[in-house]
Amino acid sequence: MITTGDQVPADLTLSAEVCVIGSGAGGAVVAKELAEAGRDVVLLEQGGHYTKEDFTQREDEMMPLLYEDMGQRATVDQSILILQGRSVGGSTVHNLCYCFRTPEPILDKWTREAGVRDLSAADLLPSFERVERMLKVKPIEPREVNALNNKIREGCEKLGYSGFVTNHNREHCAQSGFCLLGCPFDAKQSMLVTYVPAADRAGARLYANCPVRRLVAEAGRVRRVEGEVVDALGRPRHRFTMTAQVVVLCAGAINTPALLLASGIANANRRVGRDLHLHPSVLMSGIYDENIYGYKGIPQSYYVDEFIDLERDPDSGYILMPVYGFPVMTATQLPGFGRAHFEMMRNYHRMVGILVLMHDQSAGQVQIDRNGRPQISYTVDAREQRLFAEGLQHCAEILFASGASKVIAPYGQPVTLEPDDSLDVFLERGVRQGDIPIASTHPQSTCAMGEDRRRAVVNSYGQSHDLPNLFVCDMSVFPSSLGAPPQISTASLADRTAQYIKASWSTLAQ
Amino acid sequence: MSLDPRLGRRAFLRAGGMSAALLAVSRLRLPAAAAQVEASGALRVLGPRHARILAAVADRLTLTGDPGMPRFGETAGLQTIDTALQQLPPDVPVQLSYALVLFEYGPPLFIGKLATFTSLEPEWQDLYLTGWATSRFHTRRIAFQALKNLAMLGYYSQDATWSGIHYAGPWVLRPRRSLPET
Repeated sequence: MITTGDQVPADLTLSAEVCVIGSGAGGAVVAKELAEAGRDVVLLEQGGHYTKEDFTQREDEMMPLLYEDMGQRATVDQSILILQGRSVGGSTVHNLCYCFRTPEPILDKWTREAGVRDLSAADLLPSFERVERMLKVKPIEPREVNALNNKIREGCEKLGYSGFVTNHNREHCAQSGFCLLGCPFDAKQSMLVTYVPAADRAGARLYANCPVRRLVAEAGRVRRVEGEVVDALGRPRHRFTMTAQVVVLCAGAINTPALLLASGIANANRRVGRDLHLHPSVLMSGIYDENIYGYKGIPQSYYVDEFIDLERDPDSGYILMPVYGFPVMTATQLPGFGRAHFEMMRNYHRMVGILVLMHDQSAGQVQIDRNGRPQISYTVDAREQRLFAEGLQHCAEILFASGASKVIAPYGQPVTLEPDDSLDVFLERGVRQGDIPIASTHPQSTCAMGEDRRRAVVNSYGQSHDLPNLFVCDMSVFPSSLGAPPQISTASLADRTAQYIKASWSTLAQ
Repeated sequence: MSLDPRLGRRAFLRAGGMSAALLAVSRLRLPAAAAQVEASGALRVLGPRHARILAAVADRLTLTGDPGMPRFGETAGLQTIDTALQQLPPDVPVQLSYALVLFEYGPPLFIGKLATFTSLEPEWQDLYLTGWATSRFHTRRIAFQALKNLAMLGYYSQDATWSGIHYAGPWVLRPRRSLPET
């Protein structure tokens, strides 16, 4: 049963065996697994419930529905934009479907350095397989690689750079290319069309438009979940209170620590919100003489791993990824204004975007303001500023190698280069916060897992070290930067936590 | 379009180091013909004064110089921005209103012209905008980017702008969504 805020006529009192907060890649999986195991589950989602009929493919209409703060969530200094989902299905509704298992060197690092146990690739295999089966993960066919991705591939092949066509979670994709704005064909196998309906069929009750404001702990356990029922514009209509024997917090690496901090719980070691990693990225655009229409077709199918080798160095490197934007997104990212800006927009159909995504050791923190809202800080360290500059050089090489007549790096004072120009300008100019747009779609690591309760917020299975009936089950628990797109890792760790809760139920349910 | 959430109006003004002068200038009245604003647009968040300033700023930011492209004031850009503001946390429109007032009354201090932004000649308006975009003060650059984001949202959400950039628009043809009544 799925209930939206406008269907709730009065204050709400709920109870269940399990309360899952957040319906994205973590929460939807936990809800489905536990409901199918016979547990009475309530799934709470702060955003609305939108389905394929709602997805109009218009930026001004979809961004408020599908993205936190309309896609304008940012660090407090506004230097890094953080894109996160906020509807039933979470970020999986707007993501671009990259499917990667957790890299084995990262699992080894987490075991070795963070003291996480039972987390080898072999341990995770059953979860990977269940999740991939559910999401219908499979390789993108060569004929499905669109013109934009083919330009990146062509450039890499000419330069001898390592790259490959990836796996995606799509089924009968119409290749309309509007994935960022929600799939109107239900071809994207997001949580919205896979795990959430399965949880629903298994009896889970989902309440949309129900942001949680506080978790109340007494006598060493979470006893109550409190929040609001809001309308479609986010305005409070009613209050709700919920009791559950187990609470699973899956609100993402920004909202999860913010809620714990606002509640004043699960933070005895004061590690909640710390060690934020973002996979920050900077963008470059190439202009070609021929038409590309980068927004058409499957948007992100190629992946350049030339500059990251986790086997050799699990702590460093960056990935290059094809990227595209619709007109508003593109216009806000391009530098300048007025006629000069339009001269770039005029080439919208001939643009190819590529971004440098950092496997970051730089770190930040999530804190809260007096209203309990997240305040995000993050500093790109000097080493990674240099790596970004180097990455921009390689982006320019790739674009020129595949025929770009011009490349644009969107500094405040833009850098525009032609094929024979020196690329040293990026090293000279550097990449400094506030001087060039930086974006993140993968915030993580703010409630790290590990067995050492002095350093970790949750144990190896996502269970709070302080409150045994509280679990965290989203990208917060990654002990370090993942160094790869996180969808499958998040869902698989959630599956693993769900199996743990199932197996431990008699102990947990006091 | 979100300004620094910790940044109140006074902090914003202090950041520029010129609060007293700006506050004095802000007592000036807006010229009536500041910008062409569709008064019948049924704006819910933006008041007439702030709408006039924002329309003037957005017009310069989105000016294409292409006769085939509409001017900002010829589109429903303001309505689109207003709709977006309804869906953001309530402190965002409040911060925006401070930023717009500061922006409007800033020319005497930032470029030495005794005028409001909306009464400046277009060339001076562009010079003034460039000053904000490239300011060494981070706060001014943030404010510029916030205004630019709003302007681009308002402008490039309009179907009439798409042919000029060779964008075909949505595949699925569905009526525009309407917001629930307040």
